[in-house]
Amino acid sequence: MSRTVSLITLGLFFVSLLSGFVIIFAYHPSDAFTSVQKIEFLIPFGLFFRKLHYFSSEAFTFFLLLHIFLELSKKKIYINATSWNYSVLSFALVIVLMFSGFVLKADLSANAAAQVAYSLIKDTPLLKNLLPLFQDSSIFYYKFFIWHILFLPLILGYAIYKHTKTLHVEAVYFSIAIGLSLLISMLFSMPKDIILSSKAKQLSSPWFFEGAENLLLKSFSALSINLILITPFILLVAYFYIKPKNIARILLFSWLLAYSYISVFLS
Amino acid sequence: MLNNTRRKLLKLLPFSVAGVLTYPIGKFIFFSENKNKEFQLSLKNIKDGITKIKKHDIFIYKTPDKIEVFNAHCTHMGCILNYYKDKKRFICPCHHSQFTIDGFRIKGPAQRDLDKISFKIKNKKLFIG
Repeated sequence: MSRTVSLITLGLFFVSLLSGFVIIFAYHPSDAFTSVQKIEFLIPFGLFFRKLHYFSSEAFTFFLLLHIFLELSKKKIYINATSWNYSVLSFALVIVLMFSGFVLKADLSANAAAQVAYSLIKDTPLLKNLLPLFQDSSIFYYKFFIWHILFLPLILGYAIYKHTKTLHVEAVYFSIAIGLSLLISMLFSMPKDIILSSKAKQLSSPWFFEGAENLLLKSFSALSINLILITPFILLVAYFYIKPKNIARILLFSWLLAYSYISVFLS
Repeated sequence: MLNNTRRKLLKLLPFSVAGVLTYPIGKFIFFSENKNKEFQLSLKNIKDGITKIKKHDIFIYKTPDKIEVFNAHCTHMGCILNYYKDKKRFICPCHHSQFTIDGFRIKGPAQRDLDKISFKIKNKKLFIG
């Protein structure tokens, strides 16, 4: 079960990567929203590839979480410390990649999410020095685009390689990953893009940042929110070294429970 | 002996090059251009009440007696505010902070009034920035 899930996860990573590679050719950061709309409504098979990219990425994240859950429920860790740490790095990179992808759709909610992320980084000591890596004065989406299509996938690919020792996916698992992505793409529709000139009463963020958004509503500081967001990654790294694994499991589960509660009920 | 030293030096070369290049690469990547640029608007085009200049993310509040220019970003997390004419309020679509028509904070997680932007009036033109 655990091996199957990890191989499907890797397969979904490649489906997401390949479908994203197709979209790059029609995406223009200088006119991001228009290009996304052209992909969806004008270019042949544009909607198909956009949906495939969106749902394979979502499925990849879901399977990654399932993979983590299954590994944590094992009595023993079967990989070394380096491999473990690269797996945590991969998880963090996936979240950043998902967020940058959300921003690149360039609608009103994406714009707001980018502004909130800027503010969270700007108002946090040390992190604020990283702001120029994402911020650009002339083309808003350019640096997000570069990170999303180039640096982050490269670093993620390397981290996955260091974690799994291979980037080879057996044909059967790749087929399952493609089949699954296609099935979800056909069954579900994507969230609608909100045009930039509209006056939306409520803008939503990516689902994994709903908790952070709700804490912002309650006037939590940027520093405290960043600490809350970084906690599971610190706990996951610590998990390898903590001897009674149950303590680490309880801590991680408590964080997950608390964050889920905040995400769903605190708005 | 000489060969050995040369080999050691050659091994150190990539690290030395990387070390020397770190500073210029860092300066290049972290360069941030000042976004605040001056621009001008004709007063004729600005009606009484609130005018949003989307290109520059500002709101201009004009009455027969005064003009004020506000940054359109919420002072909480920077989302672009919506102006509701019926309520005469700016409301943030992200975390619901509210501000009066003249920029004062009413409620919500924002802790400050809206940021005012300096401007000058010259020859029936508004110079902002």
